[in-house]
Amino acid sequence: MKRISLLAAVLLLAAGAAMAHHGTAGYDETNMTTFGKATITQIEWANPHCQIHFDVTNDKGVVEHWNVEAPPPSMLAPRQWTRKSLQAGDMVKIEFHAAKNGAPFGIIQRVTFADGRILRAYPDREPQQSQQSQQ
Amino acid sequence: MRNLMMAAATALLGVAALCAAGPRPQAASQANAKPAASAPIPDLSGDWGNPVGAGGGGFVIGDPGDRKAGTPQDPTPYQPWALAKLNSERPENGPHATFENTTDPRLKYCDPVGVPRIYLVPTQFRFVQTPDIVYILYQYGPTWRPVAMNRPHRDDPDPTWWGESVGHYEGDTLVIDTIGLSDKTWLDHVGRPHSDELHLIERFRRIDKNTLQMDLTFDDPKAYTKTWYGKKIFAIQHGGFDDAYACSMSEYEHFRQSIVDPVTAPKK
Repeated sequence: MKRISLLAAVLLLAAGAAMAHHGTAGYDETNMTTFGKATITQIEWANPHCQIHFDVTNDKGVVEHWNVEAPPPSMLAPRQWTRKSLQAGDMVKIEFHAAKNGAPFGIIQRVTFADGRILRAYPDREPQQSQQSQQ
Repeated sequence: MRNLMMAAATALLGVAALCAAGPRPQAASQANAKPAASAPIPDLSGDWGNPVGAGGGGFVIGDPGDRKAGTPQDPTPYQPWALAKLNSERPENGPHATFENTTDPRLKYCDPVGVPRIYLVPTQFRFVQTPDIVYILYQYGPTWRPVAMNRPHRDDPDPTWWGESVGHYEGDTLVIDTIGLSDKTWLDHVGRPHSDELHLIERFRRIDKNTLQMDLTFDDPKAYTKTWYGKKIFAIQHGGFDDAYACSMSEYEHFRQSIVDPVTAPKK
């Protein structure tokens, strides 16, 4: 499992700080967590936020269960998402801001499929500085 | 860094914070002013939302106006009680943002958000312009709001969630004058209060094909020491308007249990 952190400095190319309607105080907005091989286990297509459940296998071979929130359907639809965009069993690269308290939760930024296709949940924040590997 | 980020975003997009106390955009006119009979009706058609997409924007995380709310750097002319109320709230945005035990009536009860807060919810809206009434359809709720055109307010209307709105056109601008607003609503996501004497004026003008500007005038002497102003830019949206965003307490409760509670739990 490769977990990569994008350091704090980001440039908002599109005022992408718009995160969740409820605020993001519980998330580490300054770092992006990336799992290169996440297996989708469940999608909850609902208000006030969709939820994406997935599994990743850590360096010790243990499966971790994660749950990240996403915008509501009304916001995802214009961004080319449908409730079937991600399905259980799909293996994708997933990028998100993780919970500050270390719990396996977060708020999603985007998903990249094996064929390179990208679905953005929020407008991209482009890295201004280097990437740093955490593990 | 956050300030730098937001400065960049603001400069790039020209998105002004709704709460920013800025120069008076135009003199607030009388609500019952009548346009010339032959005056063309400005075309406000389209689905409008935040410039970065169907959602987001408004009082977003890091917004300069947002982050200053209730601090000494906040230029909003609060009456003392209004400032105290703001600082006693537990909003999920702004300098006092917290995930826990919110006092936000929208998140706590799914209360109607009223105006102008509806424009900060990351959803779209659409004008339906008829000669007598302009209807504003909001994706959030979903709800709608009638604006009676070219007539005065009733005498002392009872306070309601959305108030009583009358309107008219001034050239290329739709002017909406609203009174009778219940003081249960917040003006924004950080919890700025208002009284039931709030007199709100919205001015909508299409700057170009894809851009709509809203100028706001807040006149509420019970809650603010002087009239203050704000504005917000919206962009035309392509798709998504028909996907209603309903506020459901059962769905929110599920979300709270499955996301908010574990995210706000003490660090192990």
